[in-house]
Amino acid sequence: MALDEQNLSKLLRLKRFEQPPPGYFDDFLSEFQYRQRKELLRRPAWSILQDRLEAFWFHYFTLTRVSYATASLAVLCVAGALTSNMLRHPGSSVRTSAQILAADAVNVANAATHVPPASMQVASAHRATDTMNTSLSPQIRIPDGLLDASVTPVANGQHPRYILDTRPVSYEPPFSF
Amino acid sequence: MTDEPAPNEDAQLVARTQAGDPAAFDALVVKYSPRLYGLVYNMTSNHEDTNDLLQDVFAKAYRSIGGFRGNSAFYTWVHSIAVNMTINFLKKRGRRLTMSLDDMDSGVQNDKDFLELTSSTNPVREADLSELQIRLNEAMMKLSYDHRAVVTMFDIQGMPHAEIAKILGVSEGTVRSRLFYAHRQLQNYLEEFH
Repeated sequence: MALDEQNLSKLLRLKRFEQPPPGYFDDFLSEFQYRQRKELLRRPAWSILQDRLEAFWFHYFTLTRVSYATASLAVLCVAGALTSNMLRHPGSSVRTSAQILAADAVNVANAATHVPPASMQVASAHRATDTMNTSLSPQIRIPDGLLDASVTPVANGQHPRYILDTRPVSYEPPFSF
Repeated sequence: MTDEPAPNEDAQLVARTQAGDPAAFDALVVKYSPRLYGLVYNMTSNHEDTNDLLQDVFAKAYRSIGGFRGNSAFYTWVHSIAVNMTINFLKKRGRRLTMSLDDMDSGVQNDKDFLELTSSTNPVREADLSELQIRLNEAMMKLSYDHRAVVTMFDIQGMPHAEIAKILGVSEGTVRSRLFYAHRQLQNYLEEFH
C-alpha cells in the first residue's frame, strides 16, 4: 500500500476507535468528584484558609482597593504639583535656617535705618499709655511726665538719641579718660 | 466526528456554575470528557496518564471558571486548557514511549475508512493494518508536541483549521503549515514499514 496523504488521513481517523475500557466514562464523573473532595482533605489548613481569605478580599474589598488606588493617585498628583511648582519658582521653596537668619538680619538693619521721627514715637507712646491706663485699674497709672522725660525729641534731621536711666547717650566722645 | 457543541447550552451551564451550581459543571464534565479523552490520549498514548491528566484538566477548569468571561466558547477554552496541560506534562515526561491502549473499539470493523483500507482495491490485510496502527502510534510519538496536537485535532478529531487556531492561539496558516510537515514526517516514518 502506498501511504499517500489520503490513506494516511484514513489511517489517522481510525485512531478514533481507540477507546478506554467500557464503563470508563460512567465512572469518570464520580472519580472527579471523589478527587476534588480528597484534594480538599489533603491540603493543609493554612492553604484552604488562604484561598478563602483571597476570595473574601476579592469579593468584598474590591471597592477598598479602588479607594487605595485613588488615594495613592491623589497623593502622587499633589506631590507632582508641588515638585513642578518648586522647580518653576526656586525662591519659594522651603528656606533653610541660615536663609531665615540672614533675612531677619536684613530686616533688623532696615528697621535701624528707617526709625520713625521722634514726634511719632512720642505720639505712639502716649497712645500706648492711654490704652494701658484704660485697661489697668485706677490705682495703677503711669504718670505723663515719665514718658516725656524718657523720650527726648530731636529736631533738624539729627540722628535719634536714646535715653538710658534718664541720661542722654551721645555719639560724642566722653571727656573723662 | 463533527458533533459541534451547542454554545448557548454551554453558556447556560457555565453561568450556572459561576453562580455556584456544581451540578451544572458536572454536566459539562459528562459532555466533554469523551472528546477531551481522545485529545489527551492521542497526545500521550497512555491510558493511565490520560485519566490523570483529564481529571486535572477538569479540576483546573473548575477552579478557573470564575474568571471565564465568555470571550470564546467553553469548548475552545477547555480544549486550550487540555492541550496546554498535556504539552506541559509531555515536556516533563520526556520521550518515554508508553503504549497502553492498542485495542480498538469493535466499531472499527464497520467504519468506512477501515473498510476502504481493507478493501480489494486497497489490499491491506487486517493483520497488516493492525501492525500499521501500532507503527502509526509510534510515529505519532516521534512528532513534536505542537505537531502532534495539530494532527490529533484535525485528522483524528475532525476539527476545522479555524477552531484549532483558536485553541492553540496561532494563525490558521500556522496550523496548515504544521499539518503539512507533520503529515510528511508521518509518511516518512511509515514508509520504513513497507
